Amino acid sequence: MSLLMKLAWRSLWRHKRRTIITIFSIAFSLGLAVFFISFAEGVYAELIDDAVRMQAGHLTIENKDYRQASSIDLLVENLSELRSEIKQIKGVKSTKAIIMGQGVAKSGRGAVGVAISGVEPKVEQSTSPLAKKIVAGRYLRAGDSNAVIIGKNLAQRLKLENTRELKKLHALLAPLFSPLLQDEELMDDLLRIRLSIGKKLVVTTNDVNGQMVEELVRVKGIFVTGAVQIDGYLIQVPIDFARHLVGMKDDQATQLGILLDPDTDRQEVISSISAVIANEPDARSIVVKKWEEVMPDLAAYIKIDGGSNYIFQGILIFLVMFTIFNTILMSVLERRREFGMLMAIGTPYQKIERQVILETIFIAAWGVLLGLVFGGLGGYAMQVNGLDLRQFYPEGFTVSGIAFDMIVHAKVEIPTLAVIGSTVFGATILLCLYPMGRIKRIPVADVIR
Amino acid sequence: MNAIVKLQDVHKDYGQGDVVVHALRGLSLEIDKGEMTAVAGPSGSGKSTLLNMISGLDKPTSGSIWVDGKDTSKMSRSQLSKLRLERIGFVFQAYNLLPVLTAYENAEYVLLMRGVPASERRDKVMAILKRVGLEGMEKRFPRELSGGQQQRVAIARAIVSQPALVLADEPTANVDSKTAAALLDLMAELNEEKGSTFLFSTHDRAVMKRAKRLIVLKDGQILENGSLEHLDE
Ligand SMILES: Nc1ncnc2c1ncn2[C@@H]1O[C@H](COP(=O)(O)OP(=O)(O)OP(=O)(O)O)[C@@H](O)[C@H]1O
Ligand SMILES: [Mg+2]
Repeated sequence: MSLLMKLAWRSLWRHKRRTIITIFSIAFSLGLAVFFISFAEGVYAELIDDAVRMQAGHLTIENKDYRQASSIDLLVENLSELRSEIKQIKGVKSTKAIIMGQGVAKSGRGAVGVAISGVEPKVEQSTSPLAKKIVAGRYLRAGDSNAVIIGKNLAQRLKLENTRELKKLHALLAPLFSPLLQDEELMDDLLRIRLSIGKKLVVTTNDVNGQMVEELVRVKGIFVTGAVQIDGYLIQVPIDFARHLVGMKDDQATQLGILLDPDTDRQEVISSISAVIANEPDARSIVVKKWEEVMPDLAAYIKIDGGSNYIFQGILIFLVMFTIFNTILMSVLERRREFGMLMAIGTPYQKIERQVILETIFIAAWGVLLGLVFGGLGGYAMQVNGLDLRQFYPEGFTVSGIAFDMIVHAKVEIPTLAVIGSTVFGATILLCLYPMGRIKRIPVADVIR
Repeated sequence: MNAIVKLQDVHKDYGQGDVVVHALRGLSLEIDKGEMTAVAGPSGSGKSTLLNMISGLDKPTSGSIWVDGKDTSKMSRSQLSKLRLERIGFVFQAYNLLPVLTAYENAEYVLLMRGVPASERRDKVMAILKRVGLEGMEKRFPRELSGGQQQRVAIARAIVSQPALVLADEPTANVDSKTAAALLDLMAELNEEKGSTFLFSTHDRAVMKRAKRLIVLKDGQILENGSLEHLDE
């Protein structure tokens, strides 16, 4: 071991308690920061995943003007061929055709403006979280024709249930249920949802030529995502039925959504898709968009929430820095005599500075390492087990129409850990420059007297 | 030229304006190779200041100082540091040793800094520790040694690299008179055996007597300067 290493190492262990406390406070704060960052990343990842699977995919091919005027006549043509080509691209997991339009849903007792989504039942069943959020009835099936699934809030607003039926059932069940379910409203809710299944409603919209069209559909299932924007506004019908309703051909849709494999280089897929699109007859009108462009609200939320998160982590990390700074400064100041003596007998001050840097590196390296391990393991435990937030947010939590899954999973990303770790480490080394500068200014003649 | 140290009309003022302290007022002296000189004088007479000027830890306000034939007033900070490492040994009153190094490692320090090869270092350090009477205590840390033993390690470190000059500012101020006498005996013997040049300051009459030459300062000026036999008369 070189002399400097020996001096640095032994000097640190001479103040065992201080060194350990410093290392652990670095480890603790950094671990906490890593844990929360992993958590946030996990939540965002889940949110994005849910959103893209429920809506139009990680990437969406659509008419370039669709976002300005979401008109049903802004089409993607030649769908099946386009699809088979895109499926060949590396990183593409699956594709989903969608028809998105606006309309009105009418029942005998109400009319509500809705977003009509024509989807492929088979594809959605294997990808969309909505298919798993059915609380009564069932999701759409391949053979369904005039079928619809609607959200719980919409069902309530349309008052689909038969009042007499409801009253009868209510009277029958109340004595049985009220001891179990203290909340009568809750029972009412459940009954209403149940009784909405199989009821009829009329969907009105514009067809591709701008003509008003309407069709009778039967409610097959009720979903609850927890997001009022979805549960009170979205209805899904089989895509073939939607085509028939608005007068589209088989090979047309308003969107082709693309789901990617995890850890795919998105930019690469985009350029491959752009190349495919360029050969399409409607090449000039269709484009490929990222989910951030298709769901700007969600992207903005993540950006803002992430930003505030990073500020919080920043403060935490600032505190870590301060701890290290304080320790190093103290350890330098209390050794003024020692260092003065060394300089008096001819040690260049640069050597002493190097010793202090070594001490700092040692403390920082251990603190950062332990912090990453603590935070990483904690995050990993939350990645595997998840954390149930239902007790904290019993009414749930939604972001721009996407309901948070209340069992959140962290996501530990090695690159993130590397960035945080090396930032703290680098900043620590920078911070020790000030105490180091003090060494040079020790008045040697005075301290050795 | 046999002078290891030469001072010419050295002045040192501390402070500025109305509160200037004239710590040294026109000191001129020479110290030859192989001498063993004590600097005495009342507190505040300028003993430490003189030693610090010679080692280049502090710069004179005016006048010139040569160490080993080199004019130190023209040297940079790092040149002075190098001069101290290579030509001067030090023994301080206290806090001589690095608490985290053993007696052996403390004595070895200067040799390491100078880049002396390992085997040579080992021989020299073992020999000098034996010479100062610390054989068997090589692995002890300073806190495991008595005050006198610590000063012996300091003396070992000061002379192990055979410097041109050993400066010691009150090396015995923190030990009892018996230990002080033993330390002075050691220095005197080393001065005889190895021809090391010693310049030390002291308050202690008994310690002064062990030197061959005595310089007495008062108010930053030389009051007496001569061989001890001569002064005793
Ligand atoms: N850094 C300084 N700033 C101001 N004055 C100083 C400084 N160092 C020494 N002095 C003054 O210079 C004079 C000489 O001090 P010096 O320390 O050389 O005396 P000394 O002979 O070593 O005394 P002692 O026997 O107490 O160690 C004293 O009056 C002291 O107050
Ligand atoms: Mg003094």
